[in-house]
Amino acid sequence: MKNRLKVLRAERNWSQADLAERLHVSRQSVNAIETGKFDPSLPLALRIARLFGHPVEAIFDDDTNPEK
Amino acid sequence: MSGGSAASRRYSRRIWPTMLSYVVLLALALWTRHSRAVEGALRYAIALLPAIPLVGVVALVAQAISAEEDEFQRSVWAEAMLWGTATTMVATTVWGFLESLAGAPHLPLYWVFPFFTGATLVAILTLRQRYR
Repeated sequence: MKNRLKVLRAERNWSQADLAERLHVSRQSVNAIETGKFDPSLPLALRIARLFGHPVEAIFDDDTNPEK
Repeated sequence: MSGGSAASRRYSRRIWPTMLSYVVLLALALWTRHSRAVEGALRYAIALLPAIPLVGVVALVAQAISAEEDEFQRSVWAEAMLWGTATTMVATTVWGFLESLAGAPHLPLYWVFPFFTGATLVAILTLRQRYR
């Protein structure tokens, strides 16, 4: 799934490892989510959203949003 | 499994003694295979000995996967095992055709598990490359 994780991470000057540590996941997880190869579970997506202070749908985009 | 978690350390600590006891018990079972002193029920009991650590290995791997807190790593393991299962099913069935229909040499069934383990490990390494 497309997402803005890389941009949000860059805004804060965090490496993938920094973000992984804050989310309590492996660096490989962050990379796989960022590149759209792995979709996080709902609990992890909520944790990501909370960490960046944005709603989930402002970070992840499944291309089916009718309002766009 | 994925790194330095308590679960993965516990797994590493237990897996090697279990593997070693498998090798030792299998060697013992093979060693008594042609002995005339071992007959009947005792022969069955000795033949079943290597199955104990084998079940242990399966249980340890299952435990390690369910204790893995990283959902992405867990999904990589699950995907690798699906590849391992598919490869094993196809390879053993094809070999069965060759045995029954073309007279290929007979392979004992105890090779199925090492084959599955090898296929799963190859899948893990391939998936790790992809998700690096």
